[in-house]
Amino acid sequence: MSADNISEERLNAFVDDELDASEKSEVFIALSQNSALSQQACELRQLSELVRHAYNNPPHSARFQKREPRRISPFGQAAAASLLVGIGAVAGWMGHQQPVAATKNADMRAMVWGEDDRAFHSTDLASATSQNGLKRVILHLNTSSPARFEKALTTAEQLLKKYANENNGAEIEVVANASAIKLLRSGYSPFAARVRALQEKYFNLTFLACKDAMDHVREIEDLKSDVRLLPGVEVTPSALEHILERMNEGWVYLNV
Amino acid sequence: MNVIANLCKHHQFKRTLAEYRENLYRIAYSWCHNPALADDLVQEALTKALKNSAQLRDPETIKAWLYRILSNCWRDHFRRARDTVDVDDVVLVETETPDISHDRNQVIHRVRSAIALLPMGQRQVISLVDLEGCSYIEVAQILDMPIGTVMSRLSRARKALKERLLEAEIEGNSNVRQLRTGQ
Repeated sequence: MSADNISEERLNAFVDDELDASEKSEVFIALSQNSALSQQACELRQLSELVRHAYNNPPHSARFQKREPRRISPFGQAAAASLLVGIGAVAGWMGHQQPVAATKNADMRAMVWGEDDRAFHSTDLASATSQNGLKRVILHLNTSSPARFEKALTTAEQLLKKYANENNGAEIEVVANASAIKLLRSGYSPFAARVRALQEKYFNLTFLACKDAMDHVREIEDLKSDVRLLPGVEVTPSALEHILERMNEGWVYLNV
Repeated sequence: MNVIANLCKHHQFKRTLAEYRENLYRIAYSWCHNPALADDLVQEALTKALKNSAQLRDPETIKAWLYRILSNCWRDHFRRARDTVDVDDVVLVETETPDISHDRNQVIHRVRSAIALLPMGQRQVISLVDLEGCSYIEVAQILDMPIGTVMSRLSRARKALKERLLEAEIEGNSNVRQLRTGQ
């Protein structure tokens, strides 16, 4: 499959995850053979992120802002409070029960690409990274969902473990932007200890926070100094640019 | 008992509508770039949704249904303003958007300006795909057009944005270098 056969519409559909598995494979092959096409795909993704960024906080009309918050009756408040306590108890219980390494024995491919609809690159990891002998993967987080972050950590750890005995090992970067920043913030992240443990165990695992997103948080919370991150977390000026750069260098990209 | 069940259902429906308000507003704003108008459109769409709630047969499809109503409201608004022009072919440029004076963020401003220059048909497709994560099929249903049209409009929209945002940036950078070497 040459790049000539990949129309712009199709490349867009690829970036938007609208292709089925076989069509995706064809595009992947074309991408690996044609750096210009690969660059084009990166640009499309970048544009998509830019559009999202531009309308993240649309300005509201004065009328909309003036809307008074709904008053809840004391009975409603009591009911809501009991419900919250109930949810907290259930969540706590479930969290307590959750096995940390649920995917421990799962097939590696199934683990990494389990959520096919979320994966930008659903290619085989080995073939995608074989060009330079390194297993280099960039995991991208852009939501504050603890479950996703947990999944990213588990994925990273499994990959590092799997390739630990091979010559070059694996190199993994976990990049957080947008609301995912919260998960790398000191005092906010519920994963501080786990991040620390992983950092100490695997020197080729790097956590990166997006400076743009940090500045955004600083602005919103009106902080006097920069957002404090967990120890050892690096800062990249722009997560997006960093990811594009890594993809150009042949890294495998995973949106968790 | 039926009365109570219906009341609960109605209450639940109203709450669901309220949850979609922010998303609808974001999309409406990306179409018109005017906060007051966007607010009006959302209000109109929600009123219509409430009135015609019986038309929604499958609650799972509420998202597409609401965007479709919003799109119709936007179309109606446009028709009221310009009776004989096809909304899809018109390049709508807001020269005096209220955010211009307030928006200090260059990137956001540049992207919004570039979107505002897109023909409305393209603007609607790209906003639904990129802002709300709608699938191509959903967009086709919402805007009542073939999926091929969705794909080509999206492709053309991104191509135009690329020229205005990414390539302009590269040219801008090269100009800076030339000026500096010139000095």
